[in-house]
Order: sequence, then C-alpha cells, then structure tokens
Amino acid sequence: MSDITELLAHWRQGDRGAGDALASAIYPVLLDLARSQIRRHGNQLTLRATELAHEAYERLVPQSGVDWRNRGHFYAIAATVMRRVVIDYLRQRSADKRGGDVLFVPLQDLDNSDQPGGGDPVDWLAVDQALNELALLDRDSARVVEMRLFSGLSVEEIAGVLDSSTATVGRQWRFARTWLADRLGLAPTPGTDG
Amino acid sequence: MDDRFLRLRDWFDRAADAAEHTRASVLAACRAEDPSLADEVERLLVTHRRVERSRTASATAIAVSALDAASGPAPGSRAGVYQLQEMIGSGGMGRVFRATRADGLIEQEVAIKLLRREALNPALLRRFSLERQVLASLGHPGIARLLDAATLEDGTPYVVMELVRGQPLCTWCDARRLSIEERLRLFLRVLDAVAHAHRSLVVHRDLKSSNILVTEDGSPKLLDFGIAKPISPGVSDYTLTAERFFTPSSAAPEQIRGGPVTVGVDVYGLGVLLHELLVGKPPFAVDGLTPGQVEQLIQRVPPPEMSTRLGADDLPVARARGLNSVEVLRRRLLDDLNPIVERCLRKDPRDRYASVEQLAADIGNALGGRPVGARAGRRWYRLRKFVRRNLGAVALSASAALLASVAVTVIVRQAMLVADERDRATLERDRARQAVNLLKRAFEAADPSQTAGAQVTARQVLTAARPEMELTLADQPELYAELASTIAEVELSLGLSREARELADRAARVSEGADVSVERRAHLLGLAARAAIRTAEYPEAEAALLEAEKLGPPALELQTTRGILLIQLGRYDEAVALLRAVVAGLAAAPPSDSAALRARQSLGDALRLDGRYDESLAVLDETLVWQRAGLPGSHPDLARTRLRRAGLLHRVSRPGEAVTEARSVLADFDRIYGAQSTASAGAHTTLGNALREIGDAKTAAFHYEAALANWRAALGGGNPQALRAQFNLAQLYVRNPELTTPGHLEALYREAVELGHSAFGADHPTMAVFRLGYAEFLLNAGRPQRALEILVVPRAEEALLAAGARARETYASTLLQAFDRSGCQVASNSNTGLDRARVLEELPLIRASRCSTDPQVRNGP
Repeated sequence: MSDITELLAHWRQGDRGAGDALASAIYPVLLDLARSQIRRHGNQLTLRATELAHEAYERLVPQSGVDWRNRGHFYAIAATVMRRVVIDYLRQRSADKRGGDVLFVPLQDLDNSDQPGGGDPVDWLAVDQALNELALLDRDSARVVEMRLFSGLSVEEIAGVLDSSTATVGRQWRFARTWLADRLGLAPTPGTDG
Repeated sequence: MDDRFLRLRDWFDRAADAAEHTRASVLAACRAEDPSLADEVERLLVTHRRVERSRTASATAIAVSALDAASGPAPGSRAGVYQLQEMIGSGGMGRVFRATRADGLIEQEVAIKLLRREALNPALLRRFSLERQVLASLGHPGIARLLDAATLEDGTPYVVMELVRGQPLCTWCDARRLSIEERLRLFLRVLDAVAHAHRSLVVHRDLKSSNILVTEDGSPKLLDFGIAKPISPGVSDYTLTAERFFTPSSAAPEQIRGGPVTVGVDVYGLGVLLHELLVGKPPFAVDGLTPGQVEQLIQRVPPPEMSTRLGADDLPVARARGLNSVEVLRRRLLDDLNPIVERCLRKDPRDRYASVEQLAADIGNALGGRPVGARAGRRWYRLRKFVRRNLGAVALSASAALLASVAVTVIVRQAMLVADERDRATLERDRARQAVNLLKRAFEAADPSQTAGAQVTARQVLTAARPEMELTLADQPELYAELASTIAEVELSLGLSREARELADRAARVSEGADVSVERRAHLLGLAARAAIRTAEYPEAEAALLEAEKLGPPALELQTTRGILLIQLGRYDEAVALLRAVVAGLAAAPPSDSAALRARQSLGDALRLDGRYDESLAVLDETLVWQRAGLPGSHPDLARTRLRRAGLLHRVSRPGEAVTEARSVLADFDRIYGAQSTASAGAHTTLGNALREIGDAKTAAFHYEAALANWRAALGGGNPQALRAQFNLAQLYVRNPELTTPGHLEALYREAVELGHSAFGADHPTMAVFRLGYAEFLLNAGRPQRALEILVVPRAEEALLAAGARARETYASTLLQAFDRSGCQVASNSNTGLDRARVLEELPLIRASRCSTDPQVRNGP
C-alpha cells in the first residue's frame, strides 16, 4: 500500500500524479466502506458521507490524525472518489435491475433520511450529470458542491482546503445548490412540506 | 465560465445577499440591464427560497446558517415596543437578546428570542402560534414567563420572555460546592416546575443545565420552552426532521428515532441532567465521536453505571461536592442514586419513570433514607434485559450467532417440555418457568447489530443471572443442568473459561445423584473439559473426558473435544484420525450444527499444526462448500471459516490472497459486529499476520494495534486475547524497531508478562513464550540480569513442559546466554558446564541459588 501521508504531501505540492495515486488508493476502501454502510442500512442507499470519509481516513492514514490540513485534503480527494463510488454503485445497481431509473434515498447532507418515509428521493445519476454540466460553466462552484455533498466538509473546512474564504465558498454553495435544484426540478413546491 | 453565466451568478449573489426590502431594487437594476437575465435570476431566487425553507434543505440550511447570522436583526433594532440590546445567547432555534422597553412608559427588561429564519416552515409557524398560547398559560415561579409573541417586519417571529439573570444549574452548584443533598433538593425544585408544565400538557424536550438558570436567591428557572410542545392526548405525534432542535448528546433515544414525544423525553433529559449534576459529566463520553456514532450510542448502548464514570482524575468533581475523595463520592452514589439515574435513562420510555412526580418521589426517598423504588424494580428489569445484551456479547465472540441459535433451540425446547409437564402433572414450578421464558424471550429478541462493546456488561449480566438459575436447582435438576450448560457455553464463547469450567463442573457434580440424563451429564463434563483445555489444564481435561466417556459410548461432540485435547498435547496423528472419523460421522449434519462445525475446524487445526497445510486447506475448502450449501452468504460462520482459510493461505505461499481474503472478512465483521468488536479483532490479527508475511510490517502493526484496542475495549487489558495480541505486536515491533520506540516496545513485553501471570497462570505454556520473547528483547538490549529474572521464575518448568520441544530448546539457549553475559554463579555447576538439556532440569536449583544480587529478583508471582 502506498503511503497516504506521503502522497498527500506530494499532492499538496502540486503533483497531479499523486492525486491520481491517492484516488486509486482510496477508491477500494471507500467502496468497501460504502458497501457495508449500504448493507447496514437495509440496502437503502443512505450514505453518511462524513462518516465514510472519516472511516476511510482512519483506515488509510492510521498514524497521523493530528494534521488537520492532511485530513482536509484527504477529504477533498475523498469527495471526488466518493462521488465516483456512489455513481459506479448506482450504475451497477441499475444495470442489475435493468431499470436505470431507480430512485434512492439521498445522501445525508441533502436530507436527513432517518425519518420514517424519508424525504424526496434524489436521482443521483441526474445530480452527477448536472454537476458535470455545472463544472463546465463554473468549475469552482461544482467542486464546492462535490466536497459538500460527498465528503461532509463544512463550508469553513472547504474554504480552508481551497485557500478561499468562507464568504466566497458560502456564495458558491448557495448558488450551485440553487442552480442544481432548478436544473433538476428538485425544489419542493410550496405547501407540500410540513 | 461564459459571460452570461458569470453575470447570472453575479446578479443572483447580489439579490440573494440583499435584505428583503432592497431585493426588489436589485432586481430592477438587473432588469434594466438584461430583462431575460432578470427573469432567470428571479426564478432562481424562488427556487432558492424554497430550497432554503423546505424540510429537504433544512440540514444544509442550518449548516450554512453561520453565514446568515450576520444578516439578521442586530442590537438597536426594534421589536414591537422593545429595543434589542446585546445578544445573550443563541441556539438551534434562534438568537436571544436582552431588550428594554422603548416607549418609555415603564422601565422593563425582557429577553427576546428571535427564531431563525431558515428554521421557519409553515408547520413550525403553525405550531409556534399554537404554543405561545399554551406557554403563556404556564404560570410557575420556576418557569421563565412568556410575555408576548409577535413577528418582525420581515416576518421573523419572536417571543418576549421574562429576563432571568442567573447561572446554569451545574455551574451554580459547582461554584458553591453544593453537597449531593443540596443538589438533590435544588433538583427537586426543577422537577416541580417540569411537573407543572406537564400538567399543562407541555413537554420541554431540551432540558439541560444551560436551560435552567439559578438566580441570585437560589431559585431555579426553566428557560427555552422555545421548543416545548403541547402533548396531544391520544395522538402519537412524530416530530419532523427539520424540527429536531434538541441537543444531540442529551436527546432521548426516541427523539433521535423521530418517535412520539411524551413526558418520557423530559424524564430522560432530567436523568442526563441529574447524572451531570452528580458526577460532573453526561452519561456518555461523546468527545471525538461522529454524530452518527453518538446517535448509535444513545439508541443502542446502555449507559455505563453512573458511579463507574468517575475515575481517579475526578478529584475536582468530588471536591466540588464537598467530598475529599472520589471513592467517597462513588460510594455515595452506589445504592440509591445509580438506580434512579439508570431508570431515567432507559431506552424504552415505558421503562422509565412514568411521571416526573414519581421521579421526585424516589429522590425524596433517597434524601430521606427510605428504600428507592427504582432499585426494587431493577433486578427484574435487568433480568428482562439479560440475554438481549448477553446475546449481543455472544455474537461478538467465537461461535457467536451459531451458539445463539443453539441456545434458543435448547431453551425453547426446554420451555415446551416444562409446559407439557405442567399440563400433565399440574406442577407448581413458576420460578423455573419464569427463568426459562425469560431466557427464551431475550434470546428471541436478540439482534447481533446491538452488540458493539457490550461484552463487559454481558459478563456482569451473566453473573447476575446465576442466582436466578440457582433457584431451579432444588426442584428441577434437569432444567438446572440445561441452563447451566447453556450459560457455561456462553461463558466459554466469551473467553470466561474459568467461570465456565467451575459452573459445568458443579452442575455435573449436582446432577450425579439427581434425576438428570446421562447425556446431559456427559455434555456438562465435555464442557468442563473444553474449558480446562482453554486454560491449559490438560490433566483435568483428561479426567473430565474420561469420566464422561465412562457414562457410555461417547457422543461425536465429546469425541471432538477429545480430538482437541490430543491436538493440545501435540499428538496430531491421533487427533487427525479421530477427527476425520467424527467429521465423517457428522457428514449429514446441517452447517448450522455447531458440533459438526467444531469438528471440521479442529480437523483443520490439527492438520495445520502438523504442517500438513494443503490437507488443512482442503478441509476448510470443503467446509466452505458445506456451509455455503446451507447458510446465507452473509452468515458469520462462513466469514469465520474464510478467516481460518485466510490464516492458512499465507502458509501455502499465497500471502496475497490471504491479505485480500482477510480484508474482506474484516469488512464483513465490521459490518456485522461493529468495528470495535472482538470478532473484528480476530480478523485484524489474521490480516496482520498475512501482511507481516508479505513484508508490510507497517500495515501489519496497524492491524495488530487495532486488534489489541478491540480486545482491550471489550474485555479489559488483562484478558488472554488482549495479551496475546499485545505480545504479537511486540514481536512485530522488535523486528521492525523503526515503527515504535524502545520504551513502548518494552512496556508491551513487560505488561504482557506481568498481566499474563494472573490471566494465564504462571505455568501456562503461553507464559513460557511470553517470557522468552521478553528475555530475548532484554538480552539484545544488553540487560542479561533482567532477562534472567524473567526466565527463572517459579513454575517456569511446568509452563515449559507444556510449551513444546522447540520452545524448550530456545528457552534453554536463551537462558544460557543470559547466564554467560550476566556472569552469575549457579549452585550446582559452573555456568560454562551447563548444557541445554540439563538447564531445564536445573531450573529449580538455579532459582534456589544466589544467581542474582539484585534484591528485586522475583521469587514469586
């Protein structure tokens, strides 16, 4: 196994190859964790992004745990990987069912699905696609959404990782979330909530 | 980013940033520039508001609320006839300001609570208006009075409340070093106020120290009925996600589940508060846990007994209660207060006090030295919960789920038998029936997912269950024998070998003269033998087996135990022959048959230990086929066989496969039993072994550490499994010293040897291995004298005798080296003349001689 801490250091110094190596090191672990989490939740896709990223980090970077910068950067990469894990998982699952139109209970960050009945199911394949489109228009905002949804980093933490400000990231998140909801028709119509 | 998109974003940001009343002018400016863009911005704003306000988005909305805080009303703003002064608090629902009357008519100070805008949704608003009527009616000196409620111009609702100047309850008590009694009396006044609210059909839902202020004159006042809600009689009311504004660490389990909110929620909250008031910390240590883990704790794990949360470093806590030692405080809590808090904190609201008045009455009892009601109900409650927890622990360990199902069958069958008998003979055997039904119900309710870390509790509960079982002894020996063998089996699987042996032995003795079938007696003796093998007391195991075999032709299960004993004695050929016959005899048994599984596993072990790895692998492969045919793929037994197989793969030069397989089993165990389980500990160990084999010492060490942590957490540091893990870790580090520090390494060895003394007994073969490892380390560190002290101890020869020829050989040569280097004299001989063969015979002599001048030399355990 490659040394994650070392790879992170390289990646921080701008080594793109290290980023790829990191992603391939993280992918199997996250996939593994995500699968077991899905199983624990009775086969509903209820991914707790924060927990997953946390577990993956603990598993891959056993000794450190003190370097928050490391952790933040790890989560940032984990977000991309997590998105791939989720999408791959869904693709595979819809392929299994020969449907492709299966809706899932959303990630924790969009809705707290512990509640009986859950919230509105979100079609994550559509979210993924819309995110790709957004990335073409506004790469930074799309990245913020990715990190927010798939790693559970807070706005403050994202700002730290991206060397940006909380205000900027907050605006990017607000806009991107609205844009995506508009795009996907996700905004609830008035009167249905409550 | 194309230009139009960039402008869209820019205008959206500006409009969204703008205050409500200036937004229209921003939009107008945009429209002047580009009408179609303005349409789009407007549409996005609508979406934005919906997302922001909807339940779906609330989790995220709250997360970004920090950003919005700057834009809310600020000091100086008006709210009706009041003017906001400084902010005096903020919480999930909103911010609280001190405010003064602005119209100058009367001088009045109030607290104004502004609800968070993003927390608003129609449902909440409806409830809010309903509640304020109810809240206004709560006239009680212990509840901060609600004076008025209205909305600001921008629609933000607010409430005007009596301003309370005081300190949070716990802070106030600590600052004054209130004694336990004084704290309880103050707490009673809080209960009085809560009870009053309950009588008006209002539940507070977020009772905690910071919501209860104590004023100068020492009166407690409840604040923040902001999330209080009326109890709707008869209607089970599920709170909505977005409205879950409780404090996670003090939330009741049903609040997390989104279950109906009743007075039980407040009883739970009061339990948490009382806990904190008495021992200075909440029931669960939640630092460093993810919210998910905290929720899991609250929902699944029974809180540790309150007094056990006090440690040696809690002297300041005791002092703040006017006591001068932690022990005194602990004792003070033991009898009455522990059970009161425990009853408040039960997972099922129906198991808690039914009302605050009842809780108050019990606290009154504790203060008055009268018997506490919670204690009387406690034993029965515990027993009711007995196997549910206990089973959890079983699932953590070796033959988990299988054993559970066996036990369920056994007990259900027995229960039916008893019922039959009663019907026929109408015998009065209520106690026995109770005991059986108790076990049955609990086993049925078992759920392996509830297990993480409950093993220590299981041990206590097992002990607690024993008296109940003893009751059946007098009039129902057969039932007693049955229960005893079940409990012994559970204990065996928990690693409580001594307890299991003692129980099985005694039950076998008792059943000798009684009306107990020979099969049952043989089974008990077999259990005793298995337990004795675990503690390496082979002669005793032999004796028990012989006695069982005398009772009749030995059952296959007993023969398996015989085979296991042969393995321990190193007689592999005989073991293999015997176990092959047993496996053949059980060929038709379903894979759920624990005896058949044990036989196959033992056969695999015998072959492996004999170095016949390929044959061993074949047995395990065949076992897997057998199991897969009859068990679901997710069955823990399957995972366990795969783990054994993984342990073998690296011996047949397939270490890569071993790593993959062990990793996958580890993931399964983490999923089934939880990452902190003992099952996962076993998988970590195997994975560590395989990784060590492929030369990845660093990752191997990580997994060994994980195994050690799990064992320690589940069974305490001094248990055999933890010590083995610890020793293996030391052995790994000693070969890869760059992974640790010499100090840590030595501590690992030293502790393993010291604690192993009581865990295994001085004469256990494992101790020979431990001592040898430590001594070798000491020798290499240039400390031959200390190495000698470790090697030459009483009963070392017995331990060595059982440890096998190779260990004896190494022991002897290490001992010789230690002699050479420390230059000490041996009574019978000069050190140079001592040869390896004789050194062991000479051990007692060596010990007797003045080998060391060091006064610290250890001559006894």
